[in-house]
Amino acid sequence: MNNRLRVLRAERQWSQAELGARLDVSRQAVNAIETGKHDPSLPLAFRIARLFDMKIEDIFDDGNA
Amino acid sequence: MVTHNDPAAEHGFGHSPVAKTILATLASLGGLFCIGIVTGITTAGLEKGSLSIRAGLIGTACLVIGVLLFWQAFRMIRGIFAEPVGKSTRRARMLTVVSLALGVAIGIMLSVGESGRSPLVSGDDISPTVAVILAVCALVVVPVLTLVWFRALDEHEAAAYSIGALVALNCNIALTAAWWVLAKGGLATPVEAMPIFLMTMVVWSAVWIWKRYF
Repeated sequence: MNNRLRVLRAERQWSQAELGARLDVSRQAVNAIETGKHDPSLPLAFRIARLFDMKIEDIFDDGNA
Repeated sequence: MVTHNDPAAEHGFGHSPVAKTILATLASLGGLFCIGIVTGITTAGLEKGSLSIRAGLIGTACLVIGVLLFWQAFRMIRGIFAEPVGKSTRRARMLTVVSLALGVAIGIMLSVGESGRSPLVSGDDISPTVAVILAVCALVVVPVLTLVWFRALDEHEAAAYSIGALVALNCNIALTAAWWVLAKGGLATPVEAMPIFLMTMVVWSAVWIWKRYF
């Protein structure tokens, strides 16, 4: 699944560790989501969307839209 | 923008805590090696009462390199703990440290056999007291600790651990079944638990680390 997490994080000048701390996940989890190796669960996707004050579908794209 | 916030700068293997730990360990070993050389040169100099210019230069170079390596190791370890972490990640890390301490304690107990030799190496029996303590650890302490730790994990690491467990279980089933059948056919010795146990643990750990860090 494609996502804009890396861009959104970079816009706020957060490191992966900083974003991980805000989401209560590890730096490796953030890296895995950004690189598409791990698709976040729905609860985590909601946490990400709320953190960036966006809709889930504005951050994540399954390619079928 | 070239800062530590640069997303591209965080994707290399060298940025993971495992890589930092490995590099810090190697740097520490290199530092120890250098300090060992300095100690050897100093001792030889004290015994002889004089030191050649060449030995002095080598000793000085080793001292400088050793100090630099120790400094690098210190920076890498400090970097791991300086990263901001969430509450769950901190809890999971703390439980990992507790598990490591327990592993060291179990290792020390396993290294003491009835005749003073390690049962792991010599095949000696373990004393009944130590056996009971280790059995309680295996049956109660380790499962409880694992459960508490697993609940503290984020979903990415939990998935890595679970996939590792699935692969290891399938390897365990396949190897046990194949070995047992071969033994029944008179082509192999009877199935032994310990090699299969060790293989399961190695496969589990390897897949878990692979999925988590690569």
